Amino acid sequence: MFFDTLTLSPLSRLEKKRQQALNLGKVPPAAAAFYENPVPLATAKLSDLSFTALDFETSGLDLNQDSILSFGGVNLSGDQIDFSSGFHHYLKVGDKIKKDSAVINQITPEQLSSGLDSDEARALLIQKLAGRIVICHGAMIERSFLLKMLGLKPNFTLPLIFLDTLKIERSLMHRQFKVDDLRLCTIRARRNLPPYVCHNALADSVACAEVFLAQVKDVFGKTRPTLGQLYKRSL
Amino acid sequence: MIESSLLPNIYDFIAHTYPFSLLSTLEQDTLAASVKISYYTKDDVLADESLSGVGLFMIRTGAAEQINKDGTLRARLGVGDSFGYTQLNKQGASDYKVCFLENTLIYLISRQILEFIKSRNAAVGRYFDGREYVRLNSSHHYLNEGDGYLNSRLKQSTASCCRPLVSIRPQETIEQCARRLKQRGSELAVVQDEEQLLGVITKSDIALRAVAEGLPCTLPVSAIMSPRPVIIEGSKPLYQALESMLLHNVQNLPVVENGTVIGTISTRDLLQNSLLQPLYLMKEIARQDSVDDLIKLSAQKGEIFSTLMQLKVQPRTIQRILSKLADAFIKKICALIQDECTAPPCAFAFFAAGSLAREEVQFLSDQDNGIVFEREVNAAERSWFKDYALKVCTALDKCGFTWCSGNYMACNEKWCQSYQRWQQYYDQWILEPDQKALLDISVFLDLRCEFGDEFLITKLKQHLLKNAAENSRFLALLCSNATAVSPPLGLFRQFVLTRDGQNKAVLNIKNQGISLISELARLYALQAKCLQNNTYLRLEQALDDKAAAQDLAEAYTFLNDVRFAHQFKALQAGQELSNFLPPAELSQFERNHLKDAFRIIARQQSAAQLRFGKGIR
Repeated sequence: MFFDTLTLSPLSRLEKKRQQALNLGKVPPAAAAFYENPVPLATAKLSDLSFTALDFETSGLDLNQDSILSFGGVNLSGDQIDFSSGFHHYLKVGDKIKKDSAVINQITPEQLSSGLDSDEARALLIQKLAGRIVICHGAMIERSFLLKMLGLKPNFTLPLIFLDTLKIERSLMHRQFKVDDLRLCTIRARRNLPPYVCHNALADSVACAEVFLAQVKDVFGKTRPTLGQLYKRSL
Repeated sequence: MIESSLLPNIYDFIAHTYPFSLLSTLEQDTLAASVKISYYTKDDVLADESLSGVGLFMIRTGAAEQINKDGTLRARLGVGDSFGYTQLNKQGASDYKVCFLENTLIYLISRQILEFIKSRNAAVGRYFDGREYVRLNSSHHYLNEGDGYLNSRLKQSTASCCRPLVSIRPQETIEQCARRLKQRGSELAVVQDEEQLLGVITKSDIALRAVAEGLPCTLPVSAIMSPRPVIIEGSKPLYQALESMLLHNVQNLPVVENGTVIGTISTRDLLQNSLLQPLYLMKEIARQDSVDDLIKLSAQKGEIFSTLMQLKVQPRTIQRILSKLADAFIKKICALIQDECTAPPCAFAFFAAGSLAREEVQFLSDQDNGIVFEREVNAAERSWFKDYALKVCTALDKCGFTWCSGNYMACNEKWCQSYQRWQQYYDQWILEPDQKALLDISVFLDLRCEFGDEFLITKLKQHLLKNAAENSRFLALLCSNATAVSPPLGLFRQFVLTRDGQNKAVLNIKNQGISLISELARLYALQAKCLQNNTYLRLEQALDDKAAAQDLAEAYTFLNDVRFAHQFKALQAGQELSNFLPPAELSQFERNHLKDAFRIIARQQSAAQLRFGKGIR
């Protein structure tokens, strides 16, 4: 993070970075699509923006060793999740699948062998996410693996906004009630949202999108929701 | 399309929510994949543009209230309930608004998708019809899918009961006839000249009348046919086919429509549907010569109720069959006990009151009855009737028609009186009506002769009808009683929601639903001087507003259906039967339709109040 431009909002700083990269011709070719649209302003109304809730299932948390096994997502527009926009794909990752993760994800080598190869997956994800705002639960994983997929370093600043339902949830908790368990299913149970089958990328992304809708209501009440507040809470 | 296993939440919900559970897997997939999800918080409101013409809102979690334009509560909705479908074809202003009571997750099915699904599946289309009676009617489509049930018309059940016809001319040979029977797999051939029915020949006729007698099979069939056979009209219910077969001791009946034979029906066809049980029981009852034997037979009532439920016979027919059985028991008991006693001092009639008079007995019904004797009697004669009534009522109790809790029975001296006294009773009830007293005696406003001199009962009924119809104050008070209990608005979670927004723990489906309809029907029947006792017939004949009659009849059928279904379940589980339904035991399907039935009743109660209420002033 750069703190030399404290006067600027985080979103404006991101936009500034995007413009610099464009001006200096330093846009990484693989990520060019993410530089095409300006980063929205902090005051942008949610109803004017397009969102995609995204979830990756990975073989583990080690960026160097592990890989994406499947990804799924769903679009939100206004205050509605459009289920017909849902997508879900497996990746062809050869022998990368570990016993442990297979137990958690219930993803079998057979499913993976018929999946997309990494070029196809990259192209598809870029097409799904460019020009949109990404919503994830624990966005760190998705951001890191996406950067890795694009051949970029983990600390690279991509002008793609990630809103993180995990961080937003933490920001909404009173200090004395802060709890460690911020798993999606726990949050959903606390919020009286229906239980769902965890660890399926599409189901997780829908589950995350539903939590997001609830959080927006919490943060803004009857006032008109804007992007800035949510982004700050996601940092 | 995404594979359904990947969207378990939405897919499961759609697949298990009526009426979408009726759809094919592919249609369910389409529907699930088109869902839009929204989230509302407590005090959020949907109204007008955000509701009209939008689609079907299904509550996945949370709760909401529908508020009518006049501010009254329309319904309270919980998980699995939906709203918006009556507003599908509206623009702008909606009939009600929806206020969320809790944070609520909504699955929205857009109008376009819903229209598509409705066009694909007729049952779903009826379910989402804007009219309550169509929706209620759609609720018992499954009843008609049974294997041909007692009440279905012969003609309609051609597929299951009416066999294709083997028709043969009188001059054709016995051999030709036998061959044709073999080809068609039929038991019976009808002998016809042109269109005229001359006789019938069964397989056994060929064996017994031709082969066993050594007749050559080259003889014309007319030589061995049974001429002038018993026939049955295609418009008659199956039930009558059974009666006719037993009465005439035949196994096959030609089915006739407009003078033309359209098929045949056999006992075997009926046996396959296990429809004969009630009739055998009735025959058995008539054959017994002691009350003890009758008591033994009465145990079969439960089996018959179960069979009828399993066959998905419609509630109206179940009530009629149970009533016919009750009639058979009463008639036989009355006759047996009269034989035990000395001759009665004078002519008398034993009559049924209440639900049995209406032929609407249910498995739980207790006995309501009375005795009318033709003249005033002395003390000795009175004691004959007293003794007789007690014996009859005791025997009825032992046969499962339990003692009436209100003591509306012939063994109560008050209800065992001379014609003159009964007439005085009715005069007093009708000419000087007292609201509270009317509540007590309403059971005697339905009466039907069971045994003895039927004319006494007919006379009494005529007297009642003549005076009642002309007394607007009596009708007004009756109306006030009939509308004193309001049906609930519906069910909300594990509660019954009353009109004032209160939550009650159980639904009394009789007092809060079924009785309200039979009381309205009686009110209209009395006003129209209609002799019918049965609620359906009263609605049909005494109500000018045919749409209202249809509404009420559908509601009546549905409520009885729900009651019977729950009593059947209790019977199978060996639990005690009752009219109390804990809402938790009601399916989403029943909840939705109950709401429609309750709305119909509430509307018709208001209509009755407008019509009869003025007599109070």
